[in-house]
Amino acid sequence: MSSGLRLDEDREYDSEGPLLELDGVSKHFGQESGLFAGLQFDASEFPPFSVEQERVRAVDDVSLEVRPGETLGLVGESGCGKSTLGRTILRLLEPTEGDIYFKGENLADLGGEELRQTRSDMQMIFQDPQSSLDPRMKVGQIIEEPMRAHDMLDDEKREARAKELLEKVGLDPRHYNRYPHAFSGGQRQRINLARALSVDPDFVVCDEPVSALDVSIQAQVLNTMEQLQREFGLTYLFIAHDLSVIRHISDRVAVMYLGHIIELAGKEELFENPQHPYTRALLESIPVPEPRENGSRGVLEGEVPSPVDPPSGCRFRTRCPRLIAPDTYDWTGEEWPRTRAFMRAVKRRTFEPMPAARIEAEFFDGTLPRGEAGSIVAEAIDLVATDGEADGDEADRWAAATDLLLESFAEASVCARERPAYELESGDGERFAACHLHR
Amino acid sequence: MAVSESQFEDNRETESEDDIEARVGWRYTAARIKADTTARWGLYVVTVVLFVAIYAAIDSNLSLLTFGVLSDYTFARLLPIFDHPTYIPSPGEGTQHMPPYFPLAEQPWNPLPAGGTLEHPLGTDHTGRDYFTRIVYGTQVSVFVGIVSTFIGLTGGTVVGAVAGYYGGRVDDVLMRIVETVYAIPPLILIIVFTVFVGGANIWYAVLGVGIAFVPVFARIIRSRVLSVREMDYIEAARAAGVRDREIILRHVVPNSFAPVLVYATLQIGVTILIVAGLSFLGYGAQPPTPDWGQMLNIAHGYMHSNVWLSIWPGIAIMITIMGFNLFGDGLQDALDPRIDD
Amino acid sequence: MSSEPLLRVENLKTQFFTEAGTVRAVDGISFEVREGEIVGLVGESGAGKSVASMSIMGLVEAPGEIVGGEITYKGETIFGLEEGPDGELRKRDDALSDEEIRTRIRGNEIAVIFQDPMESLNPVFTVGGQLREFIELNRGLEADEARAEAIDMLREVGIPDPEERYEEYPHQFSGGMRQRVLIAMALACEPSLIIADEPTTALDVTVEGQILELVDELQSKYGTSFVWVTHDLGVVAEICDRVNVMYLGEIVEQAPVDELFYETKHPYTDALLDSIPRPDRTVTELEAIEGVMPEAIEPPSGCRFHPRCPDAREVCKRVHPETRVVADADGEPHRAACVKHDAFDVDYEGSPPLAGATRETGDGVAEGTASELAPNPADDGGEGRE
Repeated sequence: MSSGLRLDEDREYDSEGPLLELDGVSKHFGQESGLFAGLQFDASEFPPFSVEQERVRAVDDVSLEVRPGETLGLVGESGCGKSTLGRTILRLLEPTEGDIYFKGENLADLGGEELRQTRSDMQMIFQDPQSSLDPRMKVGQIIEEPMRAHDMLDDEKREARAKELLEKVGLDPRHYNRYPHAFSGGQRQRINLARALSVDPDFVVCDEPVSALDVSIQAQVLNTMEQLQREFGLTYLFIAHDLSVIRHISDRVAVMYLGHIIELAGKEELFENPQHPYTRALLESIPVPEPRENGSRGVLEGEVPSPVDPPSGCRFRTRCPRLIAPDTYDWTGEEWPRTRAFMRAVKRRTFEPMPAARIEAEFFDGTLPRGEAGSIVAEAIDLVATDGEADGDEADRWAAATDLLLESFAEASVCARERPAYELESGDGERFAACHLHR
Repeated sequence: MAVSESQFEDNRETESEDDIEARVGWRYTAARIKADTTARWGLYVVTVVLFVAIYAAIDSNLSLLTFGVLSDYTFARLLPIFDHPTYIPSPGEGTQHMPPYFPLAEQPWNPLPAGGTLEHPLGTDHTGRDYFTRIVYGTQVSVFVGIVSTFIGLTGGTVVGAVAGYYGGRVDDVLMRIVETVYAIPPLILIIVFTVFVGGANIWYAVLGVGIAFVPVFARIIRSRVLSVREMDYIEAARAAGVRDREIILRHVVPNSFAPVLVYATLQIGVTILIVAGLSFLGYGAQPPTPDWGQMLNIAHGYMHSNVWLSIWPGIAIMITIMGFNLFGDGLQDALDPRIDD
Repeated sequence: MSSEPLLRVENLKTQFFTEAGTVRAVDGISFEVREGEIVGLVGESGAGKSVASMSIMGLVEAPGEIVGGEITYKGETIFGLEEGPDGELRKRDDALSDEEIRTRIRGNEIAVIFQDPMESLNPVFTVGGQLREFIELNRGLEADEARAEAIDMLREVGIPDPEERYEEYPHQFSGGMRQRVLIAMALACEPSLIIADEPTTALDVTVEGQILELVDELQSKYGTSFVWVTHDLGVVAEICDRVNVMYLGEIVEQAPVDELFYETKHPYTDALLDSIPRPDRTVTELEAIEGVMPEAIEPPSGCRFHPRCPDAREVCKRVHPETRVVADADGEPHRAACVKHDAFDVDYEGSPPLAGATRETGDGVAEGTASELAPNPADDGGEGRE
């Protein structure tokens, strides 16, 4: 049934190697734009002008492989860089660094017309069903546009193919002459699918294709996408923030946090046995439609740091519930977890100023850690306590305590000093986890 | 839910199989204009003005392009114009068409403007030419000038604005800085300098000058629209599909950015008519004997005391024309505004 | 728990009068909220859940209008209609005036939290200033007292460093933090009831977790009741005590949360539960509900869900089921509007199944048929049946 729809069966790609391979791909954005963007004036230097901008590291040094025929799920919270990565792969955005090999050819080296030609092999489906279709074009024109751009078929055959595709995605071919506004959100996503498939691509980046849809429509569209994947032999990169959808549709899953891939594993492995504390926290925070399972809700503290100045080493370390103890001190028992909790409470100022004894009782159960660590903690408590001896403005004292604690403990941890990257063995082949717990 | 109302409406509109044009396209816009009283009256006035202009062009057997001949004052003065109002045998070369506003045979050369009679409802001008006929023929010049110069501004502005907005970055910076420089010069001064620079007072130079002077305005309007259209996913979808930039701009960016510019252009026709009239009044636009309203005003102001109507009639003509285009533009704005939803 | 519920909504009807016709957005719903309880209002977009919640607050805007029903809050009628002498509907005399609702009820007694916190906060004023003004206005406190109270509230909802952040503007807050500010604002006057309209939908999952945790905590501390409007069954399972499932302006099922998930009585709820991908287990094949929700202008005859219902029989086309008690869940009534239950004596068993219903015919229609490819793309035709 699909024979008529495959346009290029003769140039099947050798399915041994990966279809797509990313090697150290980064995408940074300048904060400013305009004629004088980033121009700095500094009278003390010569020349007094310099061009320097804050860079948002949306995607930072990402390497991964997509195998032919699979669905690789890319999941993360908003602002983690997953959509930027998807667009960078398709070269809709220029990669700042790194190589993107598609069927062995480095897309990062291509430009202009060559790049345009490759677009018939790679397509994209967008999140917003409203804005992804030109309101002034008829459905037929929309679906035929990619074919026209690549001079595929003649007018008549294009129309026939567009109608066939409409039927394939579950719409009425008679809707060929309709304008997009006449369709519901789910139907628009189907038109999107038909457009993407019109040039018979091998690889489709799906950027949150169902997140704007109602639950009952989500299921319909997801089912159609799976069916089309089988029929057209597609490879999907499926970007989503919804872990349930990712679990349903993916074969392997990559988790992103603040521009880094922090874990990549087979779907079952990842969901049943997450190896990164962030993945674990993410999985624990999803509300499960099981009222009887109201037990543990893993609540992650704090907020995602700014991608302009991301934390060194492991990017999750500032929120990680399992931040590794700095080995410059001796720790026993609960000393480190307590110190860690105290350090974060000071940093976020989550407690009211109180006397030193109460702080000790509240955070350390009355006994401070022994040795050097203990004296650092005592110094910090002195700074923030209401009966402390330190002078100065309250805000300054808190800042000093924060600096002291972070420098002595957080910055000394291996998590801050080295960027983690570990290949692990697992049931179905290798998996990747960026966490020093796997040292 | 309130939010689903538009959805309900969509559904309703698709109930009929033929109604595929709904909400976009010319037919839909035309229907909206028909429903809008302001736009309808504007449209009536514009239609009448256009009809008069076209009628004048056909009636005198002159193609629009022969204005250059007419502006040759010396040529007109040398012609034996007393023989026949419109029909002049030229020595040796058959016949020569002349416009009907030249003095009529029975009318003696009258150096002073005369008042209205049955034959000359608005009287005659200082050379004894029928004023009504000249006003009618003036329509042709004014409307033509307004439309052509607006079209020049619109085309130039669309190209500059769309390219700047779509590519952004350095291209945008450079283009928009040039546009702003032009924008910073008062238009009348810009046009006068331009006409003088390119070779003197001439209606064609004035038209071109006005067109160029308004490129920045259109460029800025279309650029701001393009900046928002550019962010739409369908632009990115077209890029991802491998559509060429040129085609993305022509097929997606411009059509979706065009509505506000179209409205502005309609309003702008009125403004350019006024500006060209002003230029002619100052002597930088149409030259006598071309019947241009501004130029007629220029001459008329020398006769303010003997016949004030000579100044009033062209003024009324200018006012009606501009009002027509403005009403139509306002109506069009409502018709094209997607937020106004019934 | 007193016998008189905190809020009782009876036969509420809200309609929008549009050129296309009358949209029956909310069509005769009844439910109640007791003290200290979180009641869910669940449904897909277009089900009328937001309109229902806005109707309670009297915040329905033209062309919408509440055309029927009665809303009682703490024994006082905050909305009621009666038939006037000339047959016109008019406000009942014992109902509170608009003025009273504005000054006494809104904010003080019933507060609202909206989905988009950026739209609820004014971007040109500081977060603290807005909170302080709100407290000043509603509780009649002096400016400096209100300020202290505002800072306390910010700390209460888990905003770190509240003194500093008091002076900041909304854009300096993240989405989750802004939602916390709104919760602080809603709680500021210690209302008895908070209507939360999809408050976590725009948030990331970890932030959503934080907010749900916070709501749990505050609820046990203040004993506030909630009407929680959402489309997310996961959230419902997490925090709701009792749930109302809405479909096309009507409540089709009403039950305690446990019964709703494990003793589902309405095919729509059932289908909804089957169609969602699960985070906790791998579902290989999703059982999608066919079609899309029809328009509320001309709802289907009989049971409004019958064109999409896998259990639909001939009788469902004819009989419009009222919500009735179909089971008892530890003293709590379990209501559903489906004629397949014995409470409806309409001979469901004897009625022939409808052609489109799939439960009997397996996976139903796979290939395109005439009925599937109906001319109107917005009806259930085009939306695929896979």
